[in-house]
Amino acid sequence: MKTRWLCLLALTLALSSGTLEAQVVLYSLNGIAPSPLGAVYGYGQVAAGDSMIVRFRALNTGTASVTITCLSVTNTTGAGFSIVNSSSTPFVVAAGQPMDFFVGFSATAITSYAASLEVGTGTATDACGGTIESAILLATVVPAPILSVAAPCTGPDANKNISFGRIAQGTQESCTFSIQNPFPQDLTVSPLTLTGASFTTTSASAVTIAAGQSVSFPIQFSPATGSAFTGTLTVGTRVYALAGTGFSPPLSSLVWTFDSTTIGSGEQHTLSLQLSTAATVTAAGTLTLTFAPSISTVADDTAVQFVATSTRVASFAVNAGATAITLNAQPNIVFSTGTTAGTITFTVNSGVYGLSGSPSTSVTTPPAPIDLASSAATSRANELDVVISGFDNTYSIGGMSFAFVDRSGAAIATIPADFSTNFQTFFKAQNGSSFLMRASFPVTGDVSQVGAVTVVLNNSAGVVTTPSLSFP
Amino acid sequence: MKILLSILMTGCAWAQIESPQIGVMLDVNGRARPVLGSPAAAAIGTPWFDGAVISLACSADACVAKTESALFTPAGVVVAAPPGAAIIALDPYSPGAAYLYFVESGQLARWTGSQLIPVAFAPGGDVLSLRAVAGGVEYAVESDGEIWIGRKSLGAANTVLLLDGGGALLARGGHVRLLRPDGTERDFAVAPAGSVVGGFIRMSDEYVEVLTDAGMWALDLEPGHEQIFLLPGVSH
Repeated sequence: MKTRWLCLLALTLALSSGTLEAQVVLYSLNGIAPSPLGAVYGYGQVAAGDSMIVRFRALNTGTASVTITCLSVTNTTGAGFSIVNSSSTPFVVAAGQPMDFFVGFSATAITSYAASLEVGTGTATDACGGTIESAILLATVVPAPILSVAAPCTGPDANKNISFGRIAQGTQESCTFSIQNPFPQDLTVSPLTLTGASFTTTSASAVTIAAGQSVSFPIQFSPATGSAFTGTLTVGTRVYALAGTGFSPPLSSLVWTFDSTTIGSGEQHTLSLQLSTAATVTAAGTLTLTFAPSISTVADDTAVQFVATSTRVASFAVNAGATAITLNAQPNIVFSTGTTAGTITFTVNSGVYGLSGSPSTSVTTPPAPIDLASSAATSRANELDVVISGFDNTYSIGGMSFAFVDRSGAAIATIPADFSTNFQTFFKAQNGSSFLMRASFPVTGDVSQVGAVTVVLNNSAGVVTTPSLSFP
Repeated sequence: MKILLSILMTGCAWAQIESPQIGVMLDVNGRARPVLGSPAAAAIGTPWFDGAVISLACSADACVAKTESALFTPAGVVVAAPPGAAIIALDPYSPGAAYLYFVESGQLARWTGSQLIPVAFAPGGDVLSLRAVAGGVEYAVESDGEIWIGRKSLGAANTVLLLDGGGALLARGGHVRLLRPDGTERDFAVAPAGSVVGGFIRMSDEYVEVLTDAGMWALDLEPGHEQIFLLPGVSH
């Protein structure tokens, strides 16, 4: 006979089998200590959208093994409880041994929830029949405000961790925290408390937020020593972990020196680095270069690099008592700006040594008219050729015109041309914007009468004109 | 229009676009690699072949590379050659041809593009550089601490490269001096303090590679464009 014991207060059952006896007893585990499970188990208040997972245990307290054939959670009010992890059934539990399983709860509607938990030892054809251990699970979902944190802090992440990062000891970092009430009625957030040395706030211990509104408050992180600090911020039912690290920087702020104040594409420049005051330790790390093109169709330009090593990372080192920094063991380093407009950023990673001030600086290569490296004109039997090399850091070259003159300098013809498609196809297949173009013009008549050509080339940044190119 | 000529209009004009090649360089591992792009933002290509080159010279028309025991060209021509380094002078009067002076044996030979032909040669000193001139070669030797071409002294230098048309490159310490045939000069500071220029390699008609212990540089020789750039490295 199938017997269900919903809402049953008695939670243990003996299974008699001759002289051997199997008995299943349910427990809940808070941490590692099991507590006998009563008829009702309360999850308490759970913030809307949050999840809470409770570990349960079915312990065979008898002297014979028992087979658990049924493990189920049936939501009776709302839908919020579910088994999130368990062994598959049927599961044989030896005498004195446990079977653990986890039941999670999560919901967004602000109301109360209930479910029945059943552990049965029925037959294969009636798994949840036979003898059943059960309990009622209860939870209440309460309104949950939304916490956000502004830079330089990061988080909260999925585990409610908020980081203040690393700052020099004796300095202070302030981050603005905002609590939003997304609900259509006023929301009182209580408690609103902060713990942890080095973390301070001026916020009250509770706050009422109007519907749809938010409140902001600062939290300061002030590490007095070079070590890691933790704290907590309790916002109603939620507890957030705060973390920050203080360090004692042996290196003062960086002094970046470029060989020129104007930097454009197609150039090599020298960068040297110094500390504003002498280092207190001998330190080493890396200097990294990154490039962000300002041309939407271009992802990168690999020619932007430290030239001597064809890489984008260099070593840096400074001796105790010195301000001069060596880069790849040299007093300075040469980098190429490539042939693409964009921003080159240099970043020092001083590792464990720490650095005061910003570790980065940037230079920008602006869009510029086409840079011509060479141009020449030649003629063949029935063709005139114009050869032009250079680069276009805007990648928009294509429109141009060719003004031909005769041997006396009198105009013959000005021929417009649009080689945009040719150039776009070419640029897709190569890195950078350097090009060598040979434009050919089929000719009828006496080619030798053509004396010279002048070419006007356009891109999105302007117009350039070649010198008068004489045909031999 | 007076001129009996018509240039077919836009629709008939066509353009061929490719990556510009600056020349061919010798990297720190002794590999001959094409150098592509713009001089200050150059990229290096894959080596010609998987072997160490000890001497190299290139122009717009030809390239000749010398390994320990053979001559190579980019077209795949390989011939056996006397061992050791060679001083190579490409012949502008005969594209594809060159003169080679084999340093260890003191032999001079003419490279026709497919074979080596010995040339009688008695330089009277250690040859430091060669250049092809109409009907033969001109060469530089070191004597009494100075570089000489025939009876003309170029002054003291630790390395020299004779240029087609009468010019020369001279290096002393970390400085390079460009001597034009018209008597004008340009000076370039190449290597960091304490470094020394160790040699020159002709990369192309326009560029010469300057080898130092701190890197490899490309010197643009074109009149009006004289500039020096650091070449991309592969193992520094």
